[in-house]
Amino acid sequence: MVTKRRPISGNQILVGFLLISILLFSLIGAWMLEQTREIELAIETSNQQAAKDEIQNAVSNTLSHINEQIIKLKSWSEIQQQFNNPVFYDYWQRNRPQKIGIVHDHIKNIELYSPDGSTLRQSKAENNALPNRLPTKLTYLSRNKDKLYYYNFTEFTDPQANKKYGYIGARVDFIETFLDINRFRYIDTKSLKFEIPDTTYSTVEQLIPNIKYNVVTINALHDLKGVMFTSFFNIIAVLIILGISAYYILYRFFQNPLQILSSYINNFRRNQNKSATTDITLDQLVTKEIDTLFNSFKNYQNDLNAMHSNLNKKNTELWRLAHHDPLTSVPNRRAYDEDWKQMTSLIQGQLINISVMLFDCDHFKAINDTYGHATGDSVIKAVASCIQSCLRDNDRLYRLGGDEFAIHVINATPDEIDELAICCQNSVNNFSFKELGIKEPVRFSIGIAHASGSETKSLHELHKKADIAMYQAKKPGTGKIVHYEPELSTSPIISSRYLQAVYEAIENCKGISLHYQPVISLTSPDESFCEVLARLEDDEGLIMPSHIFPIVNAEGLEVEFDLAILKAIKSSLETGAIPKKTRLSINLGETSVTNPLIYNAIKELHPYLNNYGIILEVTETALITELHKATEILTELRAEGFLIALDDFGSGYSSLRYLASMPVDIIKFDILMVHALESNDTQRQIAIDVARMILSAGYDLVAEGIEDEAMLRKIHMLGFTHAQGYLLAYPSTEIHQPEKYNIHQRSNTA
Amino acid sequence: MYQNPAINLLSPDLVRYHFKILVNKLLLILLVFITIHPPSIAEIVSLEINSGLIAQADYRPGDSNKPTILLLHGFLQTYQFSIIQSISNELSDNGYTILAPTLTMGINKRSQSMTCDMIQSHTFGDHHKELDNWINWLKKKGHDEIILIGHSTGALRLISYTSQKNAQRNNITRVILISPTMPGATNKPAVLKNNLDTAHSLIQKGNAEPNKFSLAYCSENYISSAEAYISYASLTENKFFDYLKKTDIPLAVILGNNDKLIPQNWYNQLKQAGANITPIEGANHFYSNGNEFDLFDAINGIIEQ
Repeated sequence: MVTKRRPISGNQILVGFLLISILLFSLIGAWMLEQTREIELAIETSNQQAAKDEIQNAVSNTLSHINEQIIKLKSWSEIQQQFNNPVFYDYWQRNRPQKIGIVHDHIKNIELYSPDGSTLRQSKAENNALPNRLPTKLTYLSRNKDKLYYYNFTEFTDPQANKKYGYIGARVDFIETFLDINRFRYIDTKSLKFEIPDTTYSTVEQLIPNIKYNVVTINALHDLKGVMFTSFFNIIAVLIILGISAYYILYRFFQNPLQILSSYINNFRRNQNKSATTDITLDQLVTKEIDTLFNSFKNYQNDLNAMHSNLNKKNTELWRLAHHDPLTSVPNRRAYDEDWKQMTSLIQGQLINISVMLFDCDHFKAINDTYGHATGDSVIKAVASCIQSCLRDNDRLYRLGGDEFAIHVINATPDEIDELAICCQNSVNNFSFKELGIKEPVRFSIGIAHASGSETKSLHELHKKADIAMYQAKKPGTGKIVHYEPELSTSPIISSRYLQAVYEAIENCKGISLHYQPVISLTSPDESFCEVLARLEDDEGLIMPSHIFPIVNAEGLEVEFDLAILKAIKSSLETGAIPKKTRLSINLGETSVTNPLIYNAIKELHPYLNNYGIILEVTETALITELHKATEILTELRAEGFLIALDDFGSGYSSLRYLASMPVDIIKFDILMVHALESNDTQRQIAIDVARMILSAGYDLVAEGIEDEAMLRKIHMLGFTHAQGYLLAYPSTEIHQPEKYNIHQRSNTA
Repeated sequence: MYQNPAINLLSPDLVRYHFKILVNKLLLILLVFITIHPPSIAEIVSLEINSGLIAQADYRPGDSNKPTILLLHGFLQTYQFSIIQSISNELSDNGYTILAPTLTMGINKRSQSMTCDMIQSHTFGDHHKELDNWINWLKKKGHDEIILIGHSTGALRLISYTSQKNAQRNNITRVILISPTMPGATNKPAVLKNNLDTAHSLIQKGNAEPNKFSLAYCSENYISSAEAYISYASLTENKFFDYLKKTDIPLAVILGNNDKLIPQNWYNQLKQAGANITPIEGANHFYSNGNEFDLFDAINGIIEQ
C-alpha cells in the first residue's frame, strides 16, 4: 500500500539545511585543522633541519667572510709599506689600521710578524690583542669574557718575487661578525647563544654544537590557524544570520501569506455555500506573486460562486422539471417513487400508518378520443385541482401518468382516509366539466391501501394493493372508492400470474404462444388467411386474451405487447414455422398504428412479403384517433404490399365517411354486427345494407363469430367474402390449409 | 589652466629631432673610438730598484724610429692618474713608446695613490734612483732617445733629476714640464715655515716618530718623518730655478693660464728664467674642461720640434 509521505514544513527544511551546513562546515573545519597540524609538524621538522643547516652555513659563511677581509687586508699597500720599512711600525700599528677604514670593523686588531715569527713592533710591550710572537696554530678560536675571537695568522709573500715578508695576524670578533653578516630565516636571532667554555678551539666546526638557538616559530601557520578559526566562526555567524534572515523572509513573505491563503481557502471550502468568508488585507500577503495568486483565486472563487448559484438555480429548475408534471404542476411519477422510498425508509419499523390512494379516470380515453387531447388535458388539470383542494397540509398529490393520480397519506385513520377520498370524489363530481365542453359525467375510481410502518412486506406492496383496489373500483357495479382486501388479489384481471406473464412476454419475449384462426374465403381458397391470435403460456398453462388484454390496456402496454407479438411472428417466419404462401393477419392495438417502433417492426417483415401475405388488422378507433397520421402510414404500408383490414367494424363509431377515406382492403364485421343479421328488427336491415354497401364498394368483407351453419349460409348469401368462427376452426398453434375446411361445399350446400 | 602648447614630447617633429641627435652622437662616438683609441698594447712592467723594492710601470711600445716618452705622475699619484693616462693614450696613439712608472715611495709594487695620512718616509731624492733604473731599463730595451715629460710635482722631480750629473742623462733628448710646481707652493709660507721648523726640531731631538704636517693639499694630516717632510717642503721656486739652470737638455714648459695650484706669477717667473713656455688659454692644473686637446697639441708640437 502506498502511503502518502507527510509533507515537510519550510521551517524544518530551513533549520535542517542550516544544521547540515554547520555540521558540514564543522567537519571540513576539523579536517582542515588536522591537515594544518600535520603540515605544521612537517614544517617544524623541516625547519629544524633547515636551522641546523643554516647554522653550519652561517659559520662557514662567517669564516669565508673573515678570510675575504684578510685577503683585502693583504692587498692594503700600507701592509707592504710596513713590511718593507718597519721603521715607523709602532706608530703605524697604533694609528693606522683602525683609523684608515681599510680594516673591517670585525677585524679588531692586526699585527705584523717578521718571517721568523717576531712582531715588527720595536716596543716589546705585551699586546693584549695579539701575541708578540707568531703562535704555533695559525687559526683558532678563543673566548675572552663574553667575546669569542677568531685568530688568523696568514703568510704575507710576493709569489712573483718568491719572497716571504712575514705574517699578518688578525683578531676578529667572531660572534659579532657571525651576527652581522648572516641573515637567518629559520633561527630566532634573539635566541642565538654561544655556550662556549673558556677554552680554545682549533677549528670552527668544533664550535657548532655549542651554538644554541630556537627555531623560528611558524607564525604564518599560527596566523593561518587564527584566520581559519576566525573565518570559521565568522562563517558560522554569517550562516546563522543568513538562516535567521532566510527564515524571516520565508516566513514573512511566503509561509505566512501561504498559511493565510490556505486558511482562506479552507474557510472558503467550509463555507462555500455561504457567502461570508474572511477577507484578506493586501499587506498580509506582502509578495506580489502571492497577491496575484490570491486575486486569481478570489476571481476564481467569485466565478465559482456565480457558477454554483447558476447551477443551483438550474438544478432546482431541473429537479422541478424532473419531479413535476408540466401539465398540472403536481409532482410526477419520479417524485412519487423518490418520496415513497424516503418515506418508507423513515417510517419503516415504526407504528406509523401510511395509506396510498390511487385515482384513475373512468373512460378518459374515450373523452380524449371524443373531445381531443386539449380537452383531455383540461380535464386532467381540473381533476388535479379538485383533488388538491381536498388535501391536508402535509398531503401531496402525484400524477403518475395519463389520468392516474396518487396520494400518500401519513398517520390517518380509515375514516379520515374515507373522508379524503369522498371529498376528492365529490370535488370531481361537482366540477362543472360542461364548461370544458364535455357533456358526459367524468368519474374517478379510487383505490386505497393501508399499511403500518412495522409491516415491512405490506409496505412494499402497498402501491400494488392500491392498484388492485383501484382496478376493482373500476369494475362496473362496484363503489368508486375501494379499500384493498386480500381477496381482491385473486381477481383474474389483476392476477399477479397474468401480470407476470405479460411482463415476461414484453420484456423477454417469453411465453408467447401464437395461435392461428383461419379466415376462410367463401369465394376462393387462395383468398383465405389466418388471424394471428396472441396467447401467453406459463407453467400453469395457457393464458387467454381475456386475461391478457385487460392488463395490457390497464398498464398502457399496447405498443410494447404488439412489438413482442411482431417479434414472435418474425421469428416464426424466420424459422419457417409458418408455411409459405400463408396469408397472415396481425392485430395492432389502438395506439400501435401510429407508433414509430411498431412501424419499424412492420417494416422488418417486408422481406417476407414475397412468400407470405401479411394483413394488418387495425380498429377503427385506432384510425380515427390520429386519422391523418394513420392514413399516411397505412397508405405507405399498402404501397409496400401489406394489406389493411379494419377490425371490429360496427363496434364503435363505424363512420362511413371515415371508412371511405381510409386505406383499407378488408372489412371485418364485428361479431355484434354479424349477430345483428339474425335479428328481426331494424338492426338486421342496417347490417345487411352496410354489408352490401361495403361489398359494393369493393372491399372484402369478413364475418366474425360464425358459430353455426345457418349463420354461415346467411353471410354467404349476403355476399360476405370471408367467414371466421368456431364453426369453421378454433384458434390453433398449427396452420391448416383452407381446403381442409371444405367451406365451399358447405356453403354451397347451405 | 596654463598649458604650454610648444611642449609636446610626442610630437613627430620633436621625436625626429631627438632621433637625429642620437644618430649623430652614435656616429661621433664611433669616430672617436676609431681615431682616438686605436689598438695599443699596454703592459705592466716591474722593475726591482736598488732598495729591493719592486716598482711598476705602464709600458706601451711604439714606433722605434720615434723617441721614447717617460711620463711621470705628480704628488702622491700613480701612472693611473687621469692626465697621465690621457697623455699616454695620445702619445701612444701617435706611435711613441710610452713608459709611465709609478714611484714606489717605499711601497712594494705600489699601485694605489697615497693618502695624506699614510706614513711618508721616503725623501724627494729617493726618486732619482728609481728614474735612473727606469731610464737604464729603457736603454736596455733599445730606447736611446728619451723624452721626459712630467706633470706637476712629477715635473719638479724630472728637472731635479736632469739637473744632476749622471750617466743616464746622455740619452735624454728633451724635457717637457707640464704645469711644474712645488709641493708647498700653495701652502701659506708661515705654515710651511712652522712645519719645517718643527721637522728640524724633531730631527734635532732625535725623534724618529712620524709627525703630522701640512703640505700641498694635505692640511695638517700629512704624516711624514721629519726628514722626508723637509725634503719636499724645502723645495721652493728658487730651488726650481736652480734646477732649471743646471739642466742643459732642451726643456719646454706648458702652463695653463687658469692654474691655481702653481705659484703666483709663475709664468713670468719662468719666462724670466728663460724657460720655453707654451701657455694654454683657460687651462687649469689638470687640463680638464676641454683643454686636454690643447695640451696634446702643445706636447705634440714640442716633441716634433
